[in-house]
Amino acid sequence: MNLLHINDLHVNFSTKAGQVRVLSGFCLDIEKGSSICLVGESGCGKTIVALSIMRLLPENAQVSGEIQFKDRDLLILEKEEIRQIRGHEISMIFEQPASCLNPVFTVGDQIAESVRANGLCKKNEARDAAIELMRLTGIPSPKKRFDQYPHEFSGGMLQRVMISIAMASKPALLIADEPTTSLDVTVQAQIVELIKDLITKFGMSLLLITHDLGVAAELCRDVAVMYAGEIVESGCLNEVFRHPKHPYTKALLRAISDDGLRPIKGSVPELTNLPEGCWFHPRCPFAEDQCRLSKPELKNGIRCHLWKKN
Amino acid sequence: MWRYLFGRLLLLIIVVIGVTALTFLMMYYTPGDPAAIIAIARYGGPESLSSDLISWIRHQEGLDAPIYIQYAKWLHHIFYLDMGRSLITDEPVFDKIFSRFPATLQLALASMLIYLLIAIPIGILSAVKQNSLIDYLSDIGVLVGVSMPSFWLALILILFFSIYLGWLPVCGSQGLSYLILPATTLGIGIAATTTRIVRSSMLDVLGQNYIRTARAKGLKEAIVIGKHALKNAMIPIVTIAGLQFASLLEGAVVVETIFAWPGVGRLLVDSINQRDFPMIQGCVLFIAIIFVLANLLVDCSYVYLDPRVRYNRRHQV
Amino acid sequence: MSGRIQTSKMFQKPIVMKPYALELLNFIKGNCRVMVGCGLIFFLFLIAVSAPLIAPNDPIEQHRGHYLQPPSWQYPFGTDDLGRCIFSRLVYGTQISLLISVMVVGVTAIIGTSIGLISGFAGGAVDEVLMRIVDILLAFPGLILALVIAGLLGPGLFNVMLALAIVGWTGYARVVRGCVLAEKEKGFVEATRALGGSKYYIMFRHIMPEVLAPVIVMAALGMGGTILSASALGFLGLGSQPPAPEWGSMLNEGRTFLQLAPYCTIFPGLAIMLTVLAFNFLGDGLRDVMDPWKKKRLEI
Repeated sequence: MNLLHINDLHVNFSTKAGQVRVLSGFCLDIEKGSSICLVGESGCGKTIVALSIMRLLPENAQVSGEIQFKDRDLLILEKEEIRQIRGHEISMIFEQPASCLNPVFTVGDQIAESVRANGLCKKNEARDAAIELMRLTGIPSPKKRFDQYPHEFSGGMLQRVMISIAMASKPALLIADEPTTSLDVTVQAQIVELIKDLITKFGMSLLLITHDLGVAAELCRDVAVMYAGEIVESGCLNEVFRHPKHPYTKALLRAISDDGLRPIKGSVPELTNLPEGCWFHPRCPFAEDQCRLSKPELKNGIRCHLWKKN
Repeated sequence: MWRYLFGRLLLLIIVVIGVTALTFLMMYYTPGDPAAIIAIARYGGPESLSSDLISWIRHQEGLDAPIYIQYAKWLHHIFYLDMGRSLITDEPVFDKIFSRFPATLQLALASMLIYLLIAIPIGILSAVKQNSLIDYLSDIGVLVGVSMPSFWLALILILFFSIYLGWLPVCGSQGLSYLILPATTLGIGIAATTTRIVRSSMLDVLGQNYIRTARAKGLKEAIVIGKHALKNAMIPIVTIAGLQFASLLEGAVVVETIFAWPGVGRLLVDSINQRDFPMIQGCVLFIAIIFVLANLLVDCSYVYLDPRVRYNRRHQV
Repeated sequence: MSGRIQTSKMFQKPIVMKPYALELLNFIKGNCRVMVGCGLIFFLFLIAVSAPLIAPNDPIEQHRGHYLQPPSWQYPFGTDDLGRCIFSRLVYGTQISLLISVMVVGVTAIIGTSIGLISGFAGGAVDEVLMRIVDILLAFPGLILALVIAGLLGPGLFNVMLALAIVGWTGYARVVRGCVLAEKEKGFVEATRALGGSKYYIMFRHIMPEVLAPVIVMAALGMGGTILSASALGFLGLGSQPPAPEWGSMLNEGRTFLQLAPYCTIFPGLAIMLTVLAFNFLGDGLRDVMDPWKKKRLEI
């Protein structure tokens, strides 16, 4: 049974420059207890998927499609209903934890608040519960740290605080949006380890969003590669990373291979000005006439006209 | 912290010397001989003026000394809380100002309460419901509010509430009902600018990542706005509270005059009209001190609101 | 896990509909305000210039037997206690108000901008001294200082303008100095210098547009503020002297008869409000159009 089932998700933003299509026909399934990773360059709509699930998109966003979570469509839930799902059944951690914690409240207060938010315990128990969560996420001397403010914490510790907040209700699904991007390499490894421990310990599903393929390989079983707002290749992470089929995935993997950096030529197309045919063809070394004319569909986990040839 | 307080004190001294020296200089060089004013006020009408009397008074009051001696003398007396005596009534300036101060303070606090009660809810509402009808209406209200002369608003309120409806007294200071109109007049004018600042600072905060985190936690929207957003939005609001206090004092001068409210502002206007130099000087000094102290208070509450400042201060000093 | 493409159900459930038109409206609102503001200001200048043609009566002529008359065809806004036509006085008063605001804002903007430029460019002791003077002036409520100065100089139009000018230039100086300092930070200034170019020339070329936008916005808003301050001083009896038809002093004269003849106070107040509103419309609109991202800095 799927825990989360996203079907034909479209997200548009209305901006001064006109309508911008950021997600088009996005589909994704997450099984209970599985972990999946969205990878792709910045601006390809990874974070939009996460925010759509949480219904945290800005007001100028137009959303259509369906997001089934435990047989309820998150997109049509009332505000109050979605609020009870947020932080309770689905939690999210963000990149740049320093900007994600409120600077004027103590760290402990912000953790305790998420414990209380969903009526998980009484007011006077919240402090103990919060300290317990801090211990769980490996924050040293949590009793002392409880009363400190975010600016007194290092980046890695702040991400642990964010994870404590997310873990308050042991959610069924954890969404981690670039959880390690702004951290030091050594701290990154610790945070990855922590997330790994927590998802196994509590049997959570994980939706990881990253452009760091190393982190993805560490944490996830499945992967979906995104380009310009749609999935171009998906499947078992080992399989996709070992034998990439889509030219974009190949380029992406080659870009960080051991024998030096090989950037992908060109840049992500502007979402207001997508090319005809396959959206990747201007940057694709294998592109043929067919690619310039018609847009490929996602078949057997790959969106390419030519994958059988290559 | 001590260094900061010391800096503030230094600014206070510089401001006081700067402002009083300016007024002193202007008094000296502008028309209106203080000795003649004393002569008229204390010894009868203009017909009794004789040059002997005037020069006697001038000598008696030390007005024949060079200007810098007079100023130095005045400064020297300030240290003993002696601001001289009124040219008109011969009352000690210090006592007079302090007897008037409670009325001004009462008026200032009441109008502060009014403008905060208007500005904070409307500012928050129009930020949360940006581009809605409420936002649009409050925007128009703000524009009208900042464009409206306070003395005109005062007269319109008097016309409506005192003359047509007869609910409130026109002027005077015999009780709480006398406070309502002046405080409202003063409050509405400042509420307009404050609403605008609350709105823009709230909009700024609502776009921050920690607000998204608060929502992602599943907090009720009322808590997200009322706790997480408001406390951060208060920081710029408090920062400009010092400037607001200036408008409050400026408005008080006009409003006290209209409503015959016995405060320091009206005392200043009366003294200017009577060319009562020591009293003008005293009021200027007093207002400078009050203004700097109010800003000090603002800075202190700022420290309370923003733990980052608290932290930095502790580690610097 | 699998991704499937399905038959499109485009926009079946719109969650939040936020039309693009609203964004556009926001942008036009700025322009629209500029247009309304400019229109009103043009109208006011037209009234000021053609006052003798518009005013039905002489502004200072006292019509005997027509004291405190309610609005009529002969006296559209009624007459005051001396039998003068309020409408005509308001029309002629436009000249005074616009004169005060143009003079004061012109002088303060030029002086303030120059001092800001000097302070920013020179730096060091000059900057220190100038900015301390600004600090001192800003550490005292401006209108009260203007009141004291105007009061001591004695009543009169020129003295009011002088007093408002003395306290009014500080804002411009601060903002302009800030712009200059920000520009100094930028890399290209150093780069030009390294190439042997004149630092001041290049900075001047880059700074002028930077400085002009906030100064124009501040000047537009300052026009309204000046009219308010000047009429407040007039109301307190310090403005131009009778029988000049200054709006603030008209209000002051009229308030004695508030109960008997409310039109003596209502109309001058409306005139002040309309004029200030026009300049505020212009200033607000310009701020939105010129540099939306600097909005916050100027709002304080």
